[in-house]
Amino acid sequence: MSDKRLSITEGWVAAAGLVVLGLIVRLVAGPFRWDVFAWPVNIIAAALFIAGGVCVFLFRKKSPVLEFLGSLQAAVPAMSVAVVLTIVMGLVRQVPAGMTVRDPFGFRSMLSSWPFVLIYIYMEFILLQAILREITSWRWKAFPALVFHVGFFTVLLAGAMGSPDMAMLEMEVNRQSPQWSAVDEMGKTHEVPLGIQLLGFDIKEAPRIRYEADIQVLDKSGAERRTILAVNEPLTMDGWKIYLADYDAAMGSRTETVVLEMVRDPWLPAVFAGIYLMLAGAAMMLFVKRR
Amino acid sequence: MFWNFFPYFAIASVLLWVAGAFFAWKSRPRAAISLTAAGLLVFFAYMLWMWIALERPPMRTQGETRLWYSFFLPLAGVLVYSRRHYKWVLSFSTLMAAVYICVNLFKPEIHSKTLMPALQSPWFAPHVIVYMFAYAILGAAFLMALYLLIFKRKSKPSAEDMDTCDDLVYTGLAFLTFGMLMGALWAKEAWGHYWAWDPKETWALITWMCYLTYIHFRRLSPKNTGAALWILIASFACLQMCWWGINYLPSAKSTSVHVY
Repeated sequence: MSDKRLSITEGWVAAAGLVVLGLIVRLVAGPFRWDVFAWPVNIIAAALFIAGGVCVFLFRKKSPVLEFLGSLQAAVPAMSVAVVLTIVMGLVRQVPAGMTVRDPFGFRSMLSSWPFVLIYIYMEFILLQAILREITSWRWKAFPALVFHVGFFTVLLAGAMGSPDMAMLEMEVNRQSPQWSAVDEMGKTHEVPLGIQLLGFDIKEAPRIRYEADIQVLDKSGAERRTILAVNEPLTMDGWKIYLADYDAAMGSRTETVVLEMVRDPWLPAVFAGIYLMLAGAAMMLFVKRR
Repeated sequence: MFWNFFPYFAIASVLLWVAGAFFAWKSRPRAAISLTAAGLLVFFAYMLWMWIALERPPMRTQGETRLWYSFFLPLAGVLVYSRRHYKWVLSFSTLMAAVYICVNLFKPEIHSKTLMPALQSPWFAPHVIVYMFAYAILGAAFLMALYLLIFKRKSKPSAEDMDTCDDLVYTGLAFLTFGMLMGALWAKEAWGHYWAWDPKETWALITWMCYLTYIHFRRLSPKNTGAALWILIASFACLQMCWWGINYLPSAKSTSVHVY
């Protein structure tokens, strides 16, 4: 049994230290590269992260540092520093993804900034320790917190690891022939497994303005699907979700083209599971007596 | 045009709330609660009338969200009062609601009747209502922190006082969570992604994490009430930034889909 416990001071030192470390890493290695985590690196990293967390948990009694990693003394400073960096992100105009800008700390692309990434990883690790503790020293009073913790942990992990696998493409479809390619945020063209053609377009004025695109979607096997796309009413097909995004306003309902947003997000079910757990945890917090 | 009728309803509601607050000071809870409830009914009648006349929920503009806040704040106040009988809470909530009403009186806005297509979703009303309620509850927590830090600074907050702050934050945070995640689910449906780090979303996350930090700090250092109360003040500042501050932030003005 360790009798030396680390205090909140060490917590602040650890959190601040990670920020400093992040700044140094940035100078040496450049911005954090999310594209490295495309499948299958992301699932391996997630598995290693969880395995590492479980190991630290299992050996926590052997070292005050390991014990500390699951404590409030670690959690509160970690959260606070994460909030501060997120505030910086909220105050500083962020550059669009893919653009680079000269920026000594990387705060103009905070999502690729090492201090930001490291502190959130640290927070996630502490969260995992808290979850393992709550599971192994079970108290029903802590159940809402456990559900909430698991939900937030899942959203962060699946959201972060899933982001390199996410594709958001823009496709301009026309009335003449099916389109089989779409463009990403940086203007690069990608082949997609769906061919889409515009058959008609309608703007309904009453009772409320509504834009409808009549489209035909083909897949590689030749199967056809004809449907009406409206704003807030996307089509799901072959793992892709297709949204109506824009049309040629100058031409009105005689528009020759519409712009569709195509989104693929294989990690989405995990993120949604996390979201629903968080909602359940929050609801439980309202009804459970804390005293 | 609709806002021409607002002063009449607003004055009636505020007078009823002032009366309610007066009876709270006089330790007459039944009168205090009835009068405050009457004020809430009058105010809600205006909002309902507006909803019907506009043929859409009145929550698209800054002024309209302030209406909801001016309604939910005395509601939060009367809920706290009915549980704890704090003499001062109805005065504070009335005053704060009156501030937001005055902002509306002095900044009248012109509203178009139709809703942008992106807002014509069943998510719209619940997302905004839940957030406005959360803001009101957390506003009450802010008022509590102000009261304890300024008017009762000579003594340490009692356990009961801190319990009130905690209860308000747990409740407010739960509703913030509902609002934020509803926003994410709606965003996925409408825009294709559940989280785009839009400045509004970033500040919503900041606000959410601030209150989460309060909860964890309270568990870590229950005796350090001063620091806890300052966390509440700072958290509320982040909340205001998220709600309307981003409309004035240079970095957010032209980039956020939420600026309205």
